[in-house]
Amino acid sequence: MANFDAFLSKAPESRLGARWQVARFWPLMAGFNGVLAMNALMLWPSRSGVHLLIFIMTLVLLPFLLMLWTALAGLIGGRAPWWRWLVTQHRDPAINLWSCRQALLAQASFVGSALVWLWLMLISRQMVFYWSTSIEWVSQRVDSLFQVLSLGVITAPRALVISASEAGAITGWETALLSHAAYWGAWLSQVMLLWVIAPALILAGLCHWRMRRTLAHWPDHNAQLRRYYHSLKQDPLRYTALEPAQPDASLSANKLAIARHPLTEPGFGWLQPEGYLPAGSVYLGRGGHKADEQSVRNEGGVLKHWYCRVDQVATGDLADLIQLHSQQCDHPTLILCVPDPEPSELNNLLRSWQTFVERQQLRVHLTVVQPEVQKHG
Amino acid sequence: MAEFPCFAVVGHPNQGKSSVVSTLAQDDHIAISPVSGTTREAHRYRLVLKERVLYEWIDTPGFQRARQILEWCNERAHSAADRPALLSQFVEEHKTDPRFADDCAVLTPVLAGAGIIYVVNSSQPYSAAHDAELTLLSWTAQPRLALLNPMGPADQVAATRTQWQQALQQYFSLVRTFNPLRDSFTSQLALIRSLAEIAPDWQSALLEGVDALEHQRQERHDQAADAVVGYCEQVYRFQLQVPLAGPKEQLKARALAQYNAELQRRESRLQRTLARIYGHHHLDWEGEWQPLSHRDLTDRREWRAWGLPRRRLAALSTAAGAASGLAVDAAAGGTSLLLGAALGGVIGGLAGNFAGRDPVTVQWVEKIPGYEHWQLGPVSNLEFAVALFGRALRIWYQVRVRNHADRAALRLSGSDLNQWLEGLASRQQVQWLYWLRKWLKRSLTESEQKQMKHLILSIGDQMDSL
Repeated sequence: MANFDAFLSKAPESRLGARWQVARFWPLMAGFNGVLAMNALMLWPSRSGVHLLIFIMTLVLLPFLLMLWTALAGLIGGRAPWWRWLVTQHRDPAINLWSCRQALLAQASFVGSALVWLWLMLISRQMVFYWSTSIEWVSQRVDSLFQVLSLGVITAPRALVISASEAGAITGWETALLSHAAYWGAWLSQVMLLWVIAPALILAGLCHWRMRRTLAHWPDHNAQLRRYYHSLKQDPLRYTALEPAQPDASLSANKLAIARHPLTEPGFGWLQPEGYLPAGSVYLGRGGHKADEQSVRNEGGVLKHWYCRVDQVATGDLADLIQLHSQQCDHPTLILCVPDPEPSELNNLLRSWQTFVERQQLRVHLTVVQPEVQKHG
Repeated sequence: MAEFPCFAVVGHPNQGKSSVVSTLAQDDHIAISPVSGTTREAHRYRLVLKERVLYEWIDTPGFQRARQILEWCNERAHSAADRPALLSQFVEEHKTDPRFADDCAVLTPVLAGAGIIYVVNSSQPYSAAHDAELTLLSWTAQPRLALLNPMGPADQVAATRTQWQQALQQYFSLVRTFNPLRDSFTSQLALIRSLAEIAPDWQSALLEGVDALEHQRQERHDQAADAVVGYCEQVYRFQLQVPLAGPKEQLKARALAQYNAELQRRESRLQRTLARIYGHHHLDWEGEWQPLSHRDLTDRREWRAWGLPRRRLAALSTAAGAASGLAVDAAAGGTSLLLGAALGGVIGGLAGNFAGRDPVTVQWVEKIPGYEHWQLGPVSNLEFAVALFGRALRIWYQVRVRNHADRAALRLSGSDLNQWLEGLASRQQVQWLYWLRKWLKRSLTESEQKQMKHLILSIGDQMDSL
């Protein structure tokens, strides 16, 4: 995962995405509820028409108040609608804004679907709009309420139309109201658009914009997500191996017994200090390779042993000299001298020598000795 | 010269060349063995920053027949000017000869323009073979630096150090001591800076690499501290519900065992997360850690081993309690006459001194007959909480200071929490316990977690300095 954008684009495939499927359909469910609510308003409180005051309360005032509450809580208070905690328990401002946007879309969808259904009904059947109240004060205020709802942008219903819609005011009111149905439909549509649908969509857009801004720095706001993102993110700085890793080498591991006795036989000493080996020994590895080769040729018929300290590193130079010696002496002995005290890594050192003999295909007897007397005159 | 800095790590066999590369390249896949001749061919490792190569390390096998190569060249050289060409000619003629396969693998990148890092095990005596190797490398006229790797016993290293210093200074303008298993990240960066000194043409890329590595290191620490905070949030607030079936004491013991297993599982996850953050893929957690991980974390003896001494915990708890009380005093506008601070201190001191025997809250949550449940958690015991914190920090310490060349099992000699905390300012120590106490009451908010993270990062700095 190269960067945060790539991480976000993969979000629906991740374990985070699966939780949101139900909440994504929240506005659709609200739309369905809008149709149900519109149908209910046509049947209640009387089957003869739509009660204007209940209609305005259900599809304008209540959604408007809810929208206002959602927007204020989400955009200013940073809080989310109640159902957000059913989706996830994560504390996260981006999730809050997303839930807030869904809630606003749901409110717009609820009123919008009711509006569409209203017009379908107006086109396909006879509808009347009325209101009825026995409280005189309410009756007097309806006119001014409708003026306020019009916001001065659209034509408010004329006082005559309003009073004509008041049930019981005129005998034979249903006939009179039928002629005003389209007028009421148009006016109610504008009120719903102006008070609920348009503001809800604008506020949802604002939530969406705020959410996008938060998403751009999402890991800063959410510790859990930050950890998940970093676990997937590819570090821009990295070491790259150009060759595949070398498999572990198969190394010899025969157990070698350590003998304890003095060194008595002279032999070739590889990188040994002067005087360490029995008299007559030849010391090699101190000068050039050709000089060592000459020494091996000269003494190879007489000397049968090679002395090396176990903690020395064997190289190809030594292997070549032993090979050369093997031409004169069948199976010389390679004696590994273990110093006292024993090195802590003795087993590994012995394995190194065994591997050396095996890889260089040396025909030697390998023995390990801890010399009891190390000084020779 | 190569288009980007490129250094071949060369030397005698079994000197720790692969260990040096493994640590510098932060790669624990590189085959390392105490047995000589493990590396059989050259391997390259590039440091890439946003698809741009900053520099390259080349791990090579050891020289096998340096004396023979030297003699071959000397026989054919008429003047010093012929030597580099003769070395190239040698490699060309012997590249298919199995006897010289290792030597050609060493010389090829150097002849192609790579700089040289010559590694020697400074516990081994200087020999004619080393002399031949150094002579050959000096003929290439490439930028070169010698590294003394103190691999062996300290007395042997001390005995041969002067000999090596004198020999190497004849061939190298810079000689450094570097232990790939133990030296800190700062030493690793110092080594790369040294390379920048000897190769002026590559200086900017190498120093850019150093900056990028430093930045990456800080990011890793940041992520690790974040992971520790996340782990604490999970384990402190963890709740386990068990149905009430059977005698109370047995049930409680069984539930605590289940609770302990869950804590171990979360701790294992923290181990993996921290190892991944620091690029460790093959850590041996089975070594010393595993037996410890089987222990009962809810056992009070474990708390003592991993947490703080009781007296120290009580002192810090008193101070943290007083800090909480001060907030109350401030809210009361001072009318409480510092009663809040005094009471907070007393309560905090008591909480630190006389923490209960139960590590976690145990309560009967569902009382409908037939559906009774016990709920264990969240963690309620301060001593237990500090112990869990101490273990988490110990895991972090293990992976933080560990070099990639180190393949030994993880060693745990006990908690260093007390020592690390002592390095912090008193105010930070109190703050740390203040947030810890808050954690036992509720989840920390995002901003509180950030403050805790900064304190953990400060403790991390103490890990490096101790």
